[in-house]
Amino acid sequence: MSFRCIARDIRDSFGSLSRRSFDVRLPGHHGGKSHGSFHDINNQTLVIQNSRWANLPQELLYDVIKRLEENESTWPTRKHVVACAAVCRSWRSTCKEIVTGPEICGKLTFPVSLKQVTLHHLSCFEYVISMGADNISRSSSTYIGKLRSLEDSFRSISFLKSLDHSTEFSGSRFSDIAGVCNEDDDGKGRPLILKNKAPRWHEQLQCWCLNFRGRVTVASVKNFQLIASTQPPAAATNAPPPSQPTQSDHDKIILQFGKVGKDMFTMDYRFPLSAFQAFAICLSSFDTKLACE
Amino acid sequence: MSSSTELTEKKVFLLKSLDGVIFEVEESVAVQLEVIRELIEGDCARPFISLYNVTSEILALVIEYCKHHAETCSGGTSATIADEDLKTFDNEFMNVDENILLELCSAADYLDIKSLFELTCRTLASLIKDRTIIEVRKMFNVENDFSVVEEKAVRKEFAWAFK
Repeated sequence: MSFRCIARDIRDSFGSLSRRSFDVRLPGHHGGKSHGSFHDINNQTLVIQNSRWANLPQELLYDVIKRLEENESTWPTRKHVVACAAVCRSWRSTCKEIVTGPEICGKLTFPVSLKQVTLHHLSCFEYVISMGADNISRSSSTYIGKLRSLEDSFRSISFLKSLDHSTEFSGSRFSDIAGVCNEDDDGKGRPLILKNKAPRWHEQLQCWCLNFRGRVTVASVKNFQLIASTQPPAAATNAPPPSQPTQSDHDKIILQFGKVGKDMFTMDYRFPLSAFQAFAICLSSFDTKLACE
Repeated sequence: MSSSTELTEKKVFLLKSLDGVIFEVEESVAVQLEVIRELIEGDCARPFISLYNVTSEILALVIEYCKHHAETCSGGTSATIADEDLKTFDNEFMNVDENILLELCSAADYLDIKSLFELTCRTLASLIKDRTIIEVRKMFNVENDFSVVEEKAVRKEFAWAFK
């Protein structure tokens, strides 16, 4: 029965409405799904009036924080959302509901800033990756990890992740990068090998081209795309041979990085790389082209 | 059932607040309240519409808002001037006590006035912005119900937000 039909049936001393017919939305619900009776609404209104802000309904809070979240796509303003998540349990759960992972919303909820800190000698660089631009101390809570070139050339790079484990990889080109464990069933413990996606020769433009699907707009030697290497790693020769990857697996770009303007680059990454790992790889290729010169 | 026969030519509707105050509003204003528009279309808006959820204080503000928006939109001014005018009005309109703001937000949701709901939500969001967690707790009178362990973890995770 439609709303109008119900409404017409009402005989009520107040007029044309009754509690039954006027099935209105609860204050502060979201998504237009929840409905409640007048009785509920009256109660809730009284509570709000008595204790004011204390009882900001969860649903209304959701809408408010969502506005806060939507408008803040870049740091440092995204910290407001994170601050909200530290207020109390219900606020935290609301924020967690709103803030989706970067793979869904494309936004990083944790700041990544960095500074080049030391230059030991000509060929050994060390970068600290920190969430705080003004505090790069290793003891700081904003410290995430470190990127360091090893040995006497740009051939090796190690990632030291401070919190739980360290990840290391080395190689003269990205084709040799092996740093992330692939934890799926048939590849348990097998390192993920990344390699450069080979550019295609474009006959008309007479140049080598990579398709960044609009995410990279400026031609640069720094642009690159990494795909999973189909070659089983040497370290896993005694493991059962992996099933032949499908064409889509083969072409799936795990990390891409490229120039969009002066001193502006975009980085896109996907599982199994973390933001930290992806950022470190890009950092290694950036500046001095440590990894892929 | 034909609705036109029962509507008067004046097209004025009466809204009754929670505390019994009756407001007279023109149709152009009333239809901005989505809930009421449905009632009007369903021919159920006579003799008056009782809004059990909105006090006269808040309803007066809501009507002021809708009236201004209706007049600005129907006026002969160009779209850009009208936009500018509404922006100025909205900014001034939001210059109210926090508790009024919360009630306006609830009322806008209840009465289904999308633009006012959006406006109040955004204003509430801007109130939260740039405040410390302690300040937000105080403003909303929210109890910190994290356990000591949780609090420690949360503080560590969001340490940079506390600086």
